[in-house]
Amino acid sequence: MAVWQSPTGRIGLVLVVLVALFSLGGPFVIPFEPNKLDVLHRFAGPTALHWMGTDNLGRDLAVRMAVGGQIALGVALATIGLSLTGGTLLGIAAAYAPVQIERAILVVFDVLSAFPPLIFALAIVALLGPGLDKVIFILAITMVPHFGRIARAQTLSLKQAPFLDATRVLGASAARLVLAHVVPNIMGPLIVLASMDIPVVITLEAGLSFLGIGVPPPRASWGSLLHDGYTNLTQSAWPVTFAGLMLMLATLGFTLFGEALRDAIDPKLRAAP
Amino acid sequence: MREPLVKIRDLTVHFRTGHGTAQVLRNVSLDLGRGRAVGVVGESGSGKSTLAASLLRLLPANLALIDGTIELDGRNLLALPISQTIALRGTRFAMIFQDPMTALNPVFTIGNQLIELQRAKRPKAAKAELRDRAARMLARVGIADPVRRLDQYPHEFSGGMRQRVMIAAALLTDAELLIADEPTTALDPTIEAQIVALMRELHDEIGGTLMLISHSLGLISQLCDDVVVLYAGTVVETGPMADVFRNPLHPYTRALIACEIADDVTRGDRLASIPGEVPDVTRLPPGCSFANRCPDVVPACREAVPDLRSFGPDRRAACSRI
Amino acid sequence: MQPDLVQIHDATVGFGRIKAVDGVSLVIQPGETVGLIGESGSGKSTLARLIVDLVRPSSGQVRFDGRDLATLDASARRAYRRDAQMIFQDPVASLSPRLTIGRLLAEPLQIHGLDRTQAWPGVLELLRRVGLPGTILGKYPHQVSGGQARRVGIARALVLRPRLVVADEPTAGLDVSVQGDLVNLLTELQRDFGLTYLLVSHNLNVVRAMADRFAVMYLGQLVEVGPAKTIFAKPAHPYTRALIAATPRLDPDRTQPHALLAGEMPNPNALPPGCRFQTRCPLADAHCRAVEPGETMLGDGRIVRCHKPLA
Repeated sequence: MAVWQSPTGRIGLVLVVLVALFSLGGPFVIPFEPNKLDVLHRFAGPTALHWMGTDNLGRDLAVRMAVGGQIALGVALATIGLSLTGGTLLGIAAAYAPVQIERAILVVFDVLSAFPPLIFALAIVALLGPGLDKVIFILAITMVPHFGRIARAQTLSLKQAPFLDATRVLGASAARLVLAHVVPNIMGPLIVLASMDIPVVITLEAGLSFLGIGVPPPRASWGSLLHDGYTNLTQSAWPVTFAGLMLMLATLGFTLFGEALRDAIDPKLRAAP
Repeated sequence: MREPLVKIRDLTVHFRTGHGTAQVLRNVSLDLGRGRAVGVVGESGSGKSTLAASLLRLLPANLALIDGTIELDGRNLLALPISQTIALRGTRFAMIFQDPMTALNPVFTIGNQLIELQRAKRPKAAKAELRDRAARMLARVGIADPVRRLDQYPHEFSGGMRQRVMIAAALLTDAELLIADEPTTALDPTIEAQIVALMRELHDEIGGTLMLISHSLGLISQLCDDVVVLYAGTVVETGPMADVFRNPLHPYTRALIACEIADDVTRGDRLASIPGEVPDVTRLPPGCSFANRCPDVVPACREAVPDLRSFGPDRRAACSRI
Repeated sequence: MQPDLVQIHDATVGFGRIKAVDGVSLVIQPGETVGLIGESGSGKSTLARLIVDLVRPSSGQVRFDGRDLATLDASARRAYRRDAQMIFQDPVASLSPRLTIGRLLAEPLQIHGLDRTQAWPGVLELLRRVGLPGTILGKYPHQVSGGQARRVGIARALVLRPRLVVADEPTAGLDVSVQGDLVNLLTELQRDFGLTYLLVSHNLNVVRAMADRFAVMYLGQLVEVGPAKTIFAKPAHPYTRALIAATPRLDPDRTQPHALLAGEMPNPNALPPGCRFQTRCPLADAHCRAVEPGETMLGDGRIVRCHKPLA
């Protein structure tokens, strides 16, 4: 795999795998419940018992980090999955639709892009209350234009391709044309964009949770861990350090991996004479 | 007989590619006679574009080897530092490319480009004077209303008009050697015929040296005095055009001429073609490169590359069977 | 006489002042080869696309087997697609880049619900007929040569055993030394599969070797239609004559004049009144510049659009 060949890609892939393994496997290996209070032993530093110490309520930090990782990855994948699908379909529709519909779709894209995600999140949470599903919904909506515009541009440049005409002459239906011929040929840049957006979504989710409008407590999320650690910084620096470190390693890993993926796919896109 | 303007001897050019070294040109030798129009006949895989590019040293980065001599005024251009060859472009050598749209800068007016290119030889001239020369040259190449058109952009010209602009640009340089690489291939037949007539007229009038590279025998027969036949990177035949086309010596030249569709061909007639394919220049077989397609081949042909031998004044062919 | 396979009746494509195809009527009979000849801006590509229903006329009708394409319902259209196919000018670009050659050849069968196990031997036979090795099935379009891609395009067009094949510039970009092969192949395939051809090209040499009839187009209109031999020997329209003269041929003695036209094509946005060819025609006079010529039938059955036909 070409991603393995680039040194930064290798580092990225390793980090991503480590984070994923820790998040998924951690709760099985670590003998503590993420929400189990143990106030007597709060703000403990790292020991053989609690690998990352405990937080302000005595909960084991390591297992909370792992749960936080599950949420971060889960939200990222769900959000990107939804916005990629929605954006691609809208983008292709815009490219083929009559002018008025295309314009309407583009206006929708512009409106959605104009909303800063955090303000939008505040509004939705004020209306509907906090929750994991609301977070995914908010983030997915704000990212639809991001994929939609690229999908539309790619489709527009593909529209004139003779192979689409040839397939039409063979008798292909519009559905077959779009699914079997348009989508596979525009997916390259979109996949790369998606992988480079994973760290962005992770950071956004952490930000929302940090502000208290993301994943509601007591569920652990890296953002809320950062928040709790930050408010109790004078008692112990460990929670903030570990949470910050986890967030940093995850985003770094996905960023490096995404860039290596882009470099691996791009030259092939510019492929053969 | 005057000395040729340019003498190319044993020009050899290799490129590094993903699957080995491509020996694109091998021991190419030809003369560009002063005031002569020399046609280089080359199909795909002949190396003709590399030949043109070598004269101007416009070779890509994966160049593995360039050997031999290109003599101008007794000096070998290949031995000179690249800066000196760059100085020749637009002053002593000018080139017309196949696609005029990519040779012209789309964001500048035609006038701007035609004026700028003259500054290579006339750095101190007044702009009005250069503009006037440009307008007169546009008129000379058959563009109506030239003064107004100087202020237009390339996209405002049709394909045929753009090629006329390219010819005007080349002539404005007063270059001694004009290299035209498939100058009419992108044009429709009736437009092509007009451009060819123009080129012939100008060549008769101005008398510069022209190197015309083309896969079209018809085009070369209309414009050229001498012809060089290139196959898979080697010269297989040279001589005066009418001579070579009426009495071809090399089997490739003969086969190529036989592929021309005669006037009496009608529906259902079987057309001639040359069986097989041009050899892969990264995996050249030993011996003559035309051997696997040649109707006259014998085992000896595959042992050694035939030399370019003389068959009378000005006639050379590289075949052991003549 | 057999009923016409294709009937184009007064078809126009385009609106307002720019009409790519302007009032064209043409019939194609089963088994014949019609050479649709013209240069850039003639509208020949648009006319070809009309016949395979890639574009609809803004007025007029296109009929296949007597039925107007615009009135076909979904299943009739599907059936029509099996009968009319196209070979595209750019062979590699006409093949979907992410599908293997094998899947590309199977696609027509899939689209029309044909049993693959029954039909596949026919496809393999086609592959052999066009001179391609079986190993090509696993390759992608960017992995095959231009010549091979061209043959794949031909094979694919024949998978459904169509009755009509529109070939758009079938020899474009081919060296003279190999174009004969391709022309011979197309001729053999026509004979073996009972095909009707519409050849779209500006290369009169190639069209001559294949066509029964010529239909010459200029700026959206047909200017001369008739038997190929007659037109080539004695062109009636000055444009046809100029195009024939301009066709590249080996002429070492330089006996023939090649450029019979002067001037440029008019801007299609601003066509002059009268004949569209006036700006380049050596014979144009005041009448030509005032009145647009209609179609006249000559004694030998040809149709010409000219006030002063040469024949």
